[in-house]
Amino acid sequence: MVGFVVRRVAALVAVLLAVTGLAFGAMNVLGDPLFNVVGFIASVDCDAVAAGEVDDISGQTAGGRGDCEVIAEARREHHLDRALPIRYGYWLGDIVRGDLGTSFKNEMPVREVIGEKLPKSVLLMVVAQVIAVGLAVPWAVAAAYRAHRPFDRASTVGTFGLVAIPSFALGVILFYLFVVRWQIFSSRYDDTDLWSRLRSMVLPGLTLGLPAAAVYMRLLRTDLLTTLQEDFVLMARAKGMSDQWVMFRHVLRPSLFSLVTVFGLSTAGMIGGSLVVEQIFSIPGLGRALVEAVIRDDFPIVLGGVVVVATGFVVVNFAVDLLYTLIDPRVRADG
Amino acid sequence: MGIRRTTMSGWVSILLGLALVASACGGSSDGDGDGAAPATTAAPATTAAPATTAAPATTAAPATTAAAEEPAADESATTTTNAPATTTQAPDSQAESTATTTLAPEEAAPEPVFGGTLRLGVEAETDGLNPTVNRFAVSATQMAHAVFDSLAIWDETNSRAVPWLAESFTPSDDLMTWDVKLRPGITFHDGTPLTSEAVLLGFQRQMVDPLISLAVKPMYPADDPDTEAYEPAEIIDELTTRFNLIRPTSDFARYVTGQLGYIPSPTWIRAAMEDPTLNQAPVGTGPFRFDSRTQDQMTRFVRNDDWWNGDVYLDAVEYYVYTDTVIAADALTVGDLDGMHTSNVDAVLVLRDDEDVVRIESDHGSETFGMLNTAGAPFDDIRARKALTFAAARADYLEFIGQGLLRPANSWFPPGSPYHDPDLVQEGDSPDLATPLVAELCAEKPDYCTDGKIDMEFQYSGPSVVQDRIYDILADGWSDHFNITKEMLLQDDHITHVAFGLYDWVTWRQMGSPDPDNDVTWLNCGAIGALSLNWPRYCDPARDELMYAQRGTVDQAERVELWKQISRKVHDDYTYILFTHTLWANGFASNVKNVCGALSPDGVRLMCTVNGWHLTHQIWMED
Amino acid sequence: MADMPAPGERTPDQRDSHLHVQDLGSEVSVRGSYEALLGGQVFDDSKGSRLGVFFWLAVGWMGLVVVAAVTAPWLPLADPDQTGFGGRLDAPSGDAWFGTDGNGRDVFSRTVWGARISLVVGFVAIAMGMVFGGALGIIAGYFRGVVDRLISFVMFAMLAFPGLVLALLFIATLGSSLTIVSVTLGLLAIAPVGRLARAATLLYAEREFVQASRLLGASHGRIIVRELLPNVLIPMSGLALLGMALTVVAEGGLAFLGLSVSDGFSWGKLIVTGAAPRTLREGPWVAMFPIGAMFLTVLALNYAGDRLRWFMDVRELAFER
Repeated sequence: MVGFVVRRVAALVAVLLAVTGLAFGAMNVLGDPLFNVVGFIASVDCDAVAAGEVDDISGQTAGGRGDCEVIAEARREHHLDRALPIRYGYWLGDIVRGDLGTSFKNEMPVREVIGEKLPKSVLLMVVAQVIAVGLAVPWAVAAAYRAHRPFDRASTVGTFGLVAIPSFALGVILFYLFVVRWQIFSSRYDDTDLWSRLRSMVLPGLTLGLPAAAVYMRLLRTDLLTTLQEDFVLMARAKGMSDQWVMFRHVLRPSLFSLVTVFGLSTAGMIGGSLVVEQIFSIPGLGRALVEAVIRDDFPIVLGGVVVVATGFVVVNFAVDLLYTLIDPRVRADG
Repeated sequence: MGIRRTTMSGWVSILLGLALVASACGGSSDGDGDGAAPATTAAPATTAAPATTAAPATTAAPATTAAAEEPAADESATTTTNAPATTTQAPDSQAESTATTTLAPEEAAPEPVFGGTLRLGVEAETDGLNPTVNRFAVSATQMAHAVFDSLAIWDETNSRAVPWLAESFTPSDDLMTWDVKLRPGITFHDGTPLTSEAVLLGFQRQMVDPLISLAVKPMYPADDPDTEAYEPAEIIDELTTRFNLIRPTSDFARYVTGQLGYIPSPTWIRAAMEDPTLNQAPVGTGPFRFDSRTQDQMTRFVRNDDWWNGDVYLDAVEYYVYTDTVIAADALTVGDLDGMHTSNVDAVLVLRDDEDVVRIESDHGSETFGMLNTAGAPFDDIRARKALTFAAARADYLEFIGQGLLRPANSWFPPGSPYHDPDLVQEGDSPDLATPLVAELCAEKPDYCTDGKIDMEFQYSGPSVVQDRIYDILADGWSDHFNITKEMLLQDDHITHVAFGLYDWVTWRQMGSPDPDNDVTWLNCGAIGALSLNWPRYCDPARDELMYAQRGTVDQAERVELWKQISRKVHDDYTYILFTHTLWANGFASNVKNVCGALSPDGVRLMCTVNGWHLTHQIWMED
Repeated sequence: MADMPAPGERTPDQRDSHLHVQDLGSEVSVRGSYEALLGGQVFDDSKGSRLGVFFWLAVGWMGLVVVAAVTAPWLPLADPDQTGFGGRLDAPSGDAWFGTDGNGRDVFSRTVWGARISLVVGFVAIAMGMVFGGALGIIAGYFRGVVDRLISFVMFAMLAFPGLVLALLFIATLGSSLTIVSVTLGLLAIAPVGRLARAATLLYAEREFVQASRLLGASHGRIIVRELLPNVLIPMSGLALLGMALTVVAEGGLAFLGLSVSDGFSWGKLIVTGAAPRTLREGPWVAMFPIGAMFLTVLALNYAGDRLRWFMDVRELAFER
């Protein structure tokens, strides 16, 4: 057991290294880090300035500290003169000590920024997944039970309908109906207490959860139908067990593979990709912050966000792997 | 993307809003009904009109709005014109806009009610609230006026800047020096007393900031490093700061009604220089003091019981960020907000649909237009600029984007403004006039063209559904004469590119300052360099002459005439294509009272809204 | 027979899939008894192995969409970019079958043209997902060991990276042509499909019929293709076909951020434009028709895929020996 946990933790670390390495590298390729830190004055030719040939840009803009001083300091602080892997190493060193750096945008500590936004995104994801699974399982069971009959056919059409409506459309529709028209929910995220937070997450949770429910439902239904073909099912029925009993007790569990797999996979998507939902429902979450940071080349926020999302993802999938073993004992948790 | 991105990206905190440029458009999904990106709100870009100096000094003598009056004891008081009352135009200007103000001044009569929290929706989050470091867009300005006081503020005509935190503005005879005298006995929220030292420190910090200084510096002589004195400004006494300008200026107050005029606590400024996170927790002299702030979510200020200008009725003000103002309008109609602002036509329509919402609308502020970069191909050639202008699909723009709400702009001054010239007309919708120009240009300069059409890049700020649609409309209209490449950039990148002249054509929003002198910043030759605030990079020394002449004159009639000449020149240079006068709407719940009832300590009735922002101290909420 | 097995447990003499039945040479008659016992729940067409009306309807729709998309430039459609073809937000009428959008453009024409990018992006995503994802997943699940660890790790890392961010980084670096956008989204499809394929492979690889095949001396390749692939294909293709819809929607999200194909528009882009809050209330047709088109396409594709799979299985049973 201990070995198991150790292996898992090692896997987590390895994944984080890979993911952050990719992010770090990509962002460095995309944008000049010096520009990201000091802005326009990065284009000043400091050698020429030193030789007296050229004014630093501040000559046009303002007095104050010379641009080349600013540049030199930025280079020192962010190790910009070193090779990429070494810079990455410094960043790792900072991370290990818990220092995620400060945002390029307004120098707020990344830990604080992410710490504020993450719980909202996590709550959204949890609510969305609960809705999705809560809807998908009974629905799929009912549909598989009545496979190819009207209910199942209608369900097929219904699930594709849900998948075909993008979240930005679904969100706007839900917002209009439930906030504006019927005034059942508030228009923004309400932080007062747990209850109001949950209430704030109903509509956004539906927006993310309904399409996910459709996906889960399809997968589960397919697996259920496959399982239904198996001999032991036949046996159970031969022994006179009721259909419902058969379905739930014996058919459902072995059919959960696909659902559980995709459930785990969609975690990262829901945290990192909930940009549109966050915008429509005015939720100050990580999705929006992350995307904006990428587009703005705000390294520290992007890296911090990626670390957090990746960690969450690994943890969730760890749980998923454990679930696998519960579903089918033949599949041993072995990394 | 690509090469530009690798060299130009970043510049984030520095260029957001580019000092005087407001990201009112939000850049984000809001898509504010009109053209482009940043609009001005920071100080210089405030609206104003004929320059009349505020009645000098002291005391309570209620000065009436019409320029009459003038205890004028000392001759330094001067000036000016008492602009014949008629030219203080404005009162009609506001009513004349397509808009309606559903708020009558008489509403100020009822008894104020103490208490309540005013929940306002703002269209964008601001990076910080330090006026010497952060870029203030509309949203930030809205917040800033609650926690800071500016030296001057606009009166109800939206044309005259009157003393606010300052007691008086006194020029020298040659109008080259202005003494700004503070009111006595005021302290900041942190207990620091308000003295001229605070004014000087704030000014010096502005001069040092790479962005803000671009707008401020041209007005002052350079500081001579060999002398000890700080030449642009100096302290005269405990309450008086003297500003030494580089050319005669008929009014100083107009420059300090916004970001450049907020006076922050020097203690706080110095602390924030060490710890930039303090930029999120402003300390000023304002009617409200900072309470809490969660970025992208909510900022909260509470009443300052020791405010120098009397009672503050509200217990607290909370600002909520709604990047899509249509959703903010919805939030207002369902009671999640008590007030919000928008320049998005769709959101204005939502407000209009709800009878319980009280609206203040005005299109006498900024303009929505596009700019051409004259520093490179193809628009360094006036024929290309003319062709673009003639072939512009303005009618389609007005129909599909304006939806009948937006007034077409023929110049920066709407009908009703004293500077309006009815003979100036913005051309457009005449593709046939463009054809010969394009043919001529392509024959003479073949590398400007491909297949007989001029090559150009159309840059705009996004992501925004409305901006995409505007692109589609204009690109479709130009498709017969131009090969257009689309370049949609995020707000910060967009501003960066424009400032560096890395564009051919952009959609934009700016101008419309209550006093057009503030718009000289965007037009003069001195603003052009590696970085240029004169976005089209068009230098016309004769035009500069006219602009500085209007700055220095106290004769209003002369000023009007000069501006008409300036506008004519701008028109003939074909560096801008004007679309509409931006329509700003502020919506309020029906229990929010007295938005338009603020008075200055001298008894002058003050502004309602300017480009989407308003004062907060005078507001109360009924139960 | 033995007692009821515990859930998930299989006793050695239990056979599961019909393919196994095939291997041992059993006949369709076993299926027949399934049908009888389960009340026809599994197969709806006890009349025999026919594809059915709806299958052909689905194929017809797909054909229509593809043909329309390919021939769009030559069809008598309104100019999709023409501002003011109609009034602003005209309801569907004889002149504009799908109405007009906020710029007065013909929604019908735009929906047809939008299919071009959407179909390409969607198909590429499915193809890449199933081919690369499937291959990697099956290989990992079958061979286990180091190969599995390596492939799983890579896929896992790809999944742990927030998808949208990954797409942003790729497109920002490489540009936004149709090829790059399609491939980027296709890349995003590989890992989920691959992981699912691997999971399914794990499940089946331990099964007796596979072991039996091995004992009989079948090569790895043969086992993979003959035994595993058909089984894994079922859940995998289920996800992949669904993935098409998800990809088209994801492309819309990218279009919203201005990062999708810059030249032209897709269904996703049309929906984003049509879903602006007020547009959706005043002119729901702007968004609803592209949504409808996407819905029908996804539905048709999945249904046809399901039916085809089932049909192939049955045929196999009937004719293979």
